[in-house]
Amino acid sequence: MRPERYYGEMMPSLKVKLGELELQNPVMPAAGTFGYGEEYSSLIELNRLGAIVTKGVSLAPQEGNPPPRIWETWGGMLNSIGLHNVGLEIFAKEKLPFLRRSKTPIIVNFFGHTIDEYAESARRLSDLEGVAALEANLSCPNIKEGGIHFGGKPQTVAKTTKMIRRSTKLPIIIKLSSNVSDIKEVAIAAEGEGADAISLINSIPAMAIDLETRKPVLGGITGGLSGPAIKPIALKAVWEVASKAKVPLIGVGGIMDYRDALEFLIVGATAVQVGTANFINPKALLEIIEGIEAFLKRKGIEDITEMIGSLEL
Amino acid sequence: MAKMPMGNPTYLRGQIRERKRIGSLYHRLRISLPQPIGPVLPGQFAMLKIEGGGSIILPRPFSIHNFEEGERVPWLDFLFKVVGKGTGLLAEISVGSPIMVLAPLGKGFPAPPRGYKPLFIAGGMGIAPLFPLIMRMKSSSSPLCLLYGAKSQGDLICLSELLDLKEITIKIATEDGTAGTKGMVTELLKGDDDDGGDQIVIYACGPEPMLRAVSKFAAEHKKPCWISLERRMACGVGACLGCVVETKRGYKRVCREGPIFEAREILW
Repeated sequence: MRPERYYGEMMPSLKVKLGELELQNPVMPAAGTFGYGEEYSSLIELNRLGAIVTKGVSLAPQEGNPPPRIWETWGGMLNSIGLHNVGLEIFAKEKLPFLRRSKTPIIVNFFGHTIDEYAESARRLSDLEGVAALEANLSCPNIKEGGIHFGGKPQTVAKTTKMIRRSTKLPIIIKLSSNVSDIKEVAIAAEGEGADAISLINSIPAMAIDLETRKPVLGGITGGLSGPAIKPIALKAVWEVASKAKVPLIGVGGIMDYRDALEFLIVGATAVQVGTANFINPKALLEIIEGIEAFLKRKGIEDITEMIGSLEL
Repeated sequence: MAKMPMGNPTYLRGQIRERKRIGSLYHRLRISLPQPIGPVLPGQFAMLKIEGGGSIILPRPFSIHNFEEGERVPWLDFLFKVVGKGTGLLAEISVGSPIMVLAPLGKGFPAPPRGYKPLFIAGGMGIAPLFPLIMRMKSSSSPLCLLYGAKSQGDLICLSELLDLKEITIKIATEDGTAGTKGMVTELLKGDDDDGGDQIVIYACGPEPMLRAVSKFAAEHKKPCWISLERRMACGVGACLGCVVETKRGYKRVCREGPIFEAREILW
């Protein structure tokens, strides 16, 4: 343990790298919780973020699941949005131009219903100006095809990653679910086929019931659990994968403040994504970045990369 | 659809300046803001979150019930009924406590078309977003009419303040007959049907079955009708897509395209 000292005007470096992609700090929103950036732009300075991760985009627009779509649970929330999105064409025409005005790297989250759709989306997104990296969602709990069904088996993850890799030169991030028997195997499969980074984890399949009506509270019957309730599960997933994978990891799941974010770095994440916390505090991302910086100063740590994988066993 | 105004929201740490219990179930909160926000439009809402909510993590949406008209708004009033854990905590908050406020959100009620008389229809708590609209319109030249319904007399919140206004005619209906006509507020519409060739525009807020009935009336009588919808929300700013309602043109976000909608747009 380092002693707490005052290090004067030392400005710690928060820079991290996800493969070729350099970030000014490791903090970014989780896909689906930050819209297309514009929704939060009057509340938070987008230029301060490590990256902006968009709402998941698919080839064709998607209506999503019937409402109700959200429900609060003990220390968390369920969502059953069902990847409701404007589709790739409108994204390129109406959403991306706004995002390009910020100097922050844009990571486009995307998904498909077949492996070919993943490949086609990756190819078309790569042609768009201003896209810094792609994050493939192989883990959404809310759609019948695609999503989590692609992330369940190492073979499917390998095949999908391989097809995406062939379709783009951009850095590829593969977002995985913790709902698998061995997450290390799945992560290694993605890494083996050219993933530049791996995001862990997506929301966890879950449900809630209304006792009076005996009906599920969500229109989609089941949903995905997110928020502080899932942080310990996400931490363990990152820790496990970090023991095997060589590519950088992005920790996602229940991060509410800078402490949570740094815990993910300690177990091996290079960067973090913040989701549900944005709903609770629209300035959460910024407060986490400032909190990390203050922590590093307080501890006299000059470079944030010292934190990565520093777990003491 | 008519263009409806919307401003940028601000996220602030407000302070409870006043908490008033109204009857056994209702409360009114006045929240003072560290710096003024605005402008605020009648029909807009705020996300409120108190500290130390324990297992309650998400903020809750509330209609802005009252505010001082002007470019800069230094305080906001909210009216609420205790319905669950979140509102239960809010009902026990002490004066001086901090509260996080994200406001103003969503779209406000559009002004009536030229030459149209406004008709307000409120069901119980539905008076909350209509109150500031009535306050704004009371200075206009056209006569105002409010149809106000509730379960019982005690559920007619802010009735005394409304009765003080000389510019407005109020017709009351209660389900148990303890005040006004016995029955549903929508039954008062039938008597309102014969007011000559007057053009009216309806502004309504209340329980969903009431809004359905009002929409049906408006469609049948070809009256323009604006309604305020309530849904569970997470972000309040249009990012999470959690609060959508089914409309003729697909799912629309209550927090962003609403909470004020044209009644005929909604697929009930």
